[in-house]
Amino acid sequence: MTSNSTKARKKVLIILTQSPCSGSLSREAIDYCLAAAAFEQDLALLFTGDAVLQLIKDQNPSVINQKNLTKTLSALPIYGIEKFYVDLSSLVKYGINDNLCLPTIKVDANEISKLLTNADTILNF
Amino acid sequence: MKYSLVILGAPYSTQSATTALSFTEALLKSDHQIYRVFFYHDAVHCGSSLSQPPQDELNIPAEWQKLKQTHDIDLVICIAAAVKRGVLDNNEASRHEKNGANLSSSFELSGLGQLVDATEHSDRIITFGP
Amino acid sequence: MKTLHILSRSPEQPSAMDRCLKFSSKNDSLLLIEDGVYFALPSTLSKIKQSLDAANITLYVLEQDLVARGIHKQTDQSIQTVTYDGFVELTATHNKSSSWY
Repeated sequence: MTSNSTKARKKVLIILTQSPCSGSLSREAIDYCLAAAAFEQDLALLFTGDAVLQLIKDQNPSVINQKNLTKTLSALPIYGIEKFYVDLSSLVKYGINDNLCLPTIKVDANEISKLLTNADTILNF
Repeated sequence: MKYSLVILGAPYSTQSATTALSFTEALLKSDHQIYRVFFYHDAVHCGSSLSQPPQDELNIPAEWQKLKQTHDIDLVICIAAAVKRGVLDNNEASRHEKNGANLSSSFELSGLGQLVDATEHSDRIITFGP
Repeated sequence: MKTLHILSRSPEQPSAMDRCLKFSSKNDSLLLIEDGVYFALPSTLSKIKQSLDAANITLYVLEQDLVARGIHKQTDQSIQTVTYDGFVELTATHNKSSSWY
């Protein structure tokens, strides 16, 4: 790792599309966010499609021998990540609107397009 | 331009690793530079030295090793994702008291900081989905 | 500030394409790779053509994936096919990419 720049510069948008219990990708995405936060990367997360289901508060994945993603998710603000965007149409599709584990900014398709346009780099998990 | 690639798919399970391989080969012919190739999620299996496909099939891990040998590109495998899936170098194998190590010497096991670094220092990042 | 959208899922998994189209901006480009190249068949292309035209999105398809699947002669003539060299070129001329799957 180069030591030239200690402060991150790029605006990185993480686009999340996976449900919480379907496999490790959703957790691996959050692990990236934690690493990025440690390096003070300018991160924004977008939850769309099945990824909005990660935000449901009262999950109990231990009954299927999985770790609870919401514990880590809800801790992300402590690590300095503040921009959590959630696709309104996905929330509506699943009938979830409140009781989310994170303070989120609900966005429609136009606003999401702008998020993509304004990012310097996109990672798709 | 400096490129980094993020590969998520397991070799053979999907086209992810081979699409990325072909893209990398095209990059190497171009005027662009490869900053890093980062293997995450199931793509960590690309680092196995034990893969033995039938003779008439592409040996995907071996193809990545060839690129390392001929072009010395930085091939990094996420250590946490790899160890969890049973892809270990000698250090990790002895640390976890396993019978053997299977990481090909062409790859380096490292943390997600390498991916963060790659996103900061590359002009282009391409995700090859699972 | 154009984005290159890369789509790798077949029409059988429409949510990837749905999201890609919903979230792209005017004048972005879309590259079909892997099973995504099945969207280049006339019958499946017709379902997305209106959305592509409305946003002036240029469609590209990866030639090797078309040939592999035996559909390179059936794809619509208006779609630009690219090789892996062209794939690299597209990523260079667009300032970022987003992979939909």
